[in-house]
Amino acid sequence: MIFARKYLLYFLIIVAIAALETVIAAKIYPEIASIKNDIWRIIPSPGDPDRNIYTRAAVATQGTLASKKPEQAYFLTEIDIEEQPLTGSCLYKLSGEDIDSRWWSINPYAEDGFLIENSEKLYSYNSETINYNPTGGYEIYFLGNNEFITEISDKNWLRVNSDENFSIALRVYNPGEEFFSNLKRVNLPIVEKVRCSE
Amino acid sequence: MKSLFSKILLLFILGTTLHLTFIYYYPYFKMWQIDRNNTSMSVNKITHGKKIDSNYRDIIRPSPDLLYSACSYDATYSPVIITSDVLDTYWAMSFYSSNSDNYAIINDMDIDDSNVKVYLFGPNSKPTKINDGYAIFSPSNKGAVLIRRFLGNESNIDELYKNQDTLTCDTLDN
Repeated sequence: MIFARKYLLYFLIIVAIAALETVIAAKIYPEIASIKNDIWRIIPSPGDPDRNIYTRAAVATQGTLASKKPEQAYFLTEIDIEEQPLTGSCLYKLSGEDIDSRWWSINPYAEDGFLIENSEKLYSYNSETINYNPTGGYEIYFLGNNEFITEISDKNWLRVNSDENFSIALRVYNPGEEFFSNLKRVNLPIVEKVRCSE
Repeated sequence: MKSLFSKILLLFILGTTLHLTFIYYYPYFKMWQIDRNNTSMSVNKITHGKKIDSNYRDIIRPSPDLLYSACSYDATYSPVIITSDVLDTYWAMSFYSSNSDNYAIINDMDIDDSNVKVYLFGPNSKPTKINDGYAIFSPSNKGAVLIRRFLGNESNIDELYKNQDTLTCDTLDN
């Protein structure tokens, strides 16, 4: 009985070590594998067969069926330009210029990584649906609180949940190899906080 | 003292081995889970998605700008043949092995014709002479094919849904 207890203890220690290493890897590896471009993070070729086991596992937690380059570049941000988490209690403005690609799209995700329910049934803007401003750029507002709606109702805007943080994805399709060799410096939209609810 | 150090080292090595095993097999588990979630998806049969909204829960971070179709294939004994009409707008067929690697993609820009035929060979598929389509070689016998169609401003959404109906995914023997 004592013998069995001893080996059960060893087994539990082994499982605890494995669990601890997995938690640490899940925390730090996405940061290591990602390239940062201002507020945006990207894994350069997330579906690539040559990726290592940590990248493969990290992608599996975030999207599973990811494309390899140069088909698609998939950027994600969870922060604004002041490096503060994006939260539904504030109004944000994303400003950008057209991206040299076949098409692109921008959409927010809830904390669970799924699309955010809204009565407008509007989940994203893409290069065909966005309303460009006269200078050729565009803005998209993200709001979780109806108190902001009157000031942005005639603009591009998307609903987020008021009581939680959110993330924004930027997908760029067929941008070409040059885009991928310059991921740290390509011109991407910025996200700035306009104001928060009181 | 030496014995205690050896024990700690052994436990650490075994713990790390268990950790690496988990990391290695996790993508396989996620692919299995995707297959299982598509309850209507039997092997080598196409499943069509509708325009994705906030009720969709199968795969995390789905794109609301794409109309998907998928085929969970098994090329163990025979090549799988996939055919489809190709759209003028963005249309891409991506091939995933059982560990979720995206080993091949073809999109509408790669295809000159208005339709495409793909022979998908597994590592053990029997040799087959082909002269009327693309040959693609899967590193695993099982995997998934995902078709993405750009919704754009949705002015051609009926055409995209009709394109789903042109898709087939079956073994050569059938």
